[in-house]
Amino acid sequence: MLSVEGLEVRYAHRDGALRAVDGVDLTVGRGETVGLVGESGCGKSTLGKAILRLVEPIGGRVAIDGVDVAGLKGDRLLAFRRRVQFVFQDPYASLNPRRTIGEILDGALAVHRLGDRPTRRHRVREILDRVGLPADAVDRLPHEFSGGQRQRIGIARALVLSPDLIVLDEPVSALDVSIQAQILNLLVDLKREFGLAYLFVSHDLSVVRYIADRVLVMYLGRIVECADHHVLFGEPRHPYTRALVDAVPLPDPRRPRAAIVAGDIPSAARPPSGCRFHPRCPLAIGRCADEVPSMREIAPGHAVACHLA
Amino acid sequence: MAEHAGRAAAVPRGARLRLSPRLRRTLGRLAVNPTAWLGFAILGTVIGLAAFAPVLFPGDPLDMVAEPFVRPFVALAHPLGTDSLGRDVAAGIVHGARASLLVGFVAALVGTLVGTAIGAVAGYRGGLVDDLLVRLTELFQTIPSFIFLVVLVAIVPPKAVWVALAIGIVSWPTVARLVRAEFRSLRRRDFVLAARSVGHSASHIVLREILPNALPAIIVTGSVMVASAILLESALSFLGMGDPDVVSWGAMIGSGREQLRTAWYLTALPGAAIVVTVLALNLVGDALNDALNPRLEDR
Repeated sequence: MLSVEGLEVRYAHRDGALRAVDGVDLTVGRGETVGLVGESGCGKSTLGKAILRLVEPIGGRVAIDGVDVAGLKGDRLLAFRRRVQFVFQDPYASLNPRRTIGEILDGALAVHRLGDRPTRRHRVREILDRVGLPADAVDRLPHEFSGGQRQRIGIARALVLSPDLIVLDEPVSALDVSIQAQILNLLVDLKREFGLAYLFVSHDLSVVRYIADRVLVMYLGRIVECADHHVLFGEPRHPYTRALVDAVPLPDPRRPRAAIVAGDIPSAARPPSGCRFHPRCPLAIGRCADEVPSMREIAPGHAVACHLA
Repeated sequence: MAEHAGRAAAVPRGARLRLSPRLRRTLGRLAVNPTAWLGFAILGTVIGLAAFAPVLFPGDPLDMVAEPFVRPFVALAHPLGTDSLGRDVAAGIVHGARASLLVGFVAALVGTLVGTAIGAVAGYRGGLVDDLLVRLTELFQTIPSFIFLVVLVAIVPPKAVWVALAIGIVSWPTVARLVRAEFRSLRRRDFVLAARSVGHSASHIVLREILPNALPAIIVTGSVMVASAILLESALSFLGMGDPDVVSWGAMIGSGREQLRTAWYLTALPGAAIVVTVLALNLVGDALNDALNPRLEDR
């Protein structure tokens, strides 16, 4: 349903252009949950925002059911916005402090001319109930709610338009662990009930492992590995993925682990030559510094960008 | 059926509740602030005097009603004395409050509206539009505002409303810079991105999402602008460039300055009226700033 090819986003930076997203390909099928993982600053949030044109990409193509999203205007842009929604990481910053929950949700329906006032009011109550918020929330302001409830409001805002795809940008990482589980369960239930597709962006592998059908691993603006979730967690092939998988805390700490990746993620303004991971890679060979590895399919549905895989 | 009735009843309640928690908290914070009380009390008195001027002192305050240079607190009919032409000083001050407040509020309104519109467009659009509007604002700011005002007033008819418009025109750049800065920071916030992702238009985002969040800062600046507009109007009238058909505090000071050594009260009394009014407006501005400051919101 969603296909992204060669997407590029750059930010102006004092050292020149910062390549936040540098040639990313991905697809999300109808009803599929795709996890997108990577360290902070690898460009995964920017990628999510670029798909919705909240950040304008400078290159590549985003298409929904084959229709190119770039250059959409007016009613056609509106139609695209109804189909693809976004849930933000920070439930405190993503709700206007001066609008009531009712205004926020009704406003979304009103722009898309979905029903008259009573119909919309009914729909708002239905959605609030579905995400587990009390009906009197419509008249209240965001600051009257807890973090978890606010994230439910953010989900309600995305859901109220009955989209086909929701891009979730770290939707639980600002929440307490107990609340995280509630929100994740809600997301799983909603997906089943409404046949939603998710692009689930997160730095937390245990969360992605719980929710995603297929996982993409991103490093410094590029996808380095892509596989079904049990394959990726069972037999990761890229050294970076292996390090990430092994860095997840386990119930049994005596289990042997691969070397922990040292150092910080380099600046996207001056990415390393060749394979971008080579300065931190425990297995790097001479070729890694010179030649950019391309994505190769090593098994059906499992692609890796590494010379050694 | 019962559910229907409940839903219908909830609508007006919702409309009231929407404003009240925040407004109630703002008013509550004002109520416990002695500065606010003092400011609003003085301002209320001045507005009251201006409103009831024709009742308190009927007739034209520019009429000669007694012999000149009656000193204050001597004659009961003229409690604050008379000037060199035998005009009643008390009547002049009370009627003068009308001119000062009218010019002050109209000028502040004009300046705030123009400044907000320009600042909002510049801050929200950014890029070339922003560059052009910032240059325009700087152009207005580099001209000394009082000289510019004198030039404007020399061009327009000498009527109080025109003077007010002229003052508004020289004072919008301050508001424009403030509003631009607010919009620049607010437009990057997640809730603005969220409004875009939902499909809201630019005008909805500017007017309904960003502006309400910039409003406290605009209100505070506006209240202080009233005070500075009153000062500008007084300075103009002092120079004899105000509306000659209307008494104003600045004009009273201007006409009394020649008798400064013999009849000091002719300048001191209208001067005190300006000081007290401007002080009251600044106190109100400070109190509003404290009450509307979002950083104090969750205390």
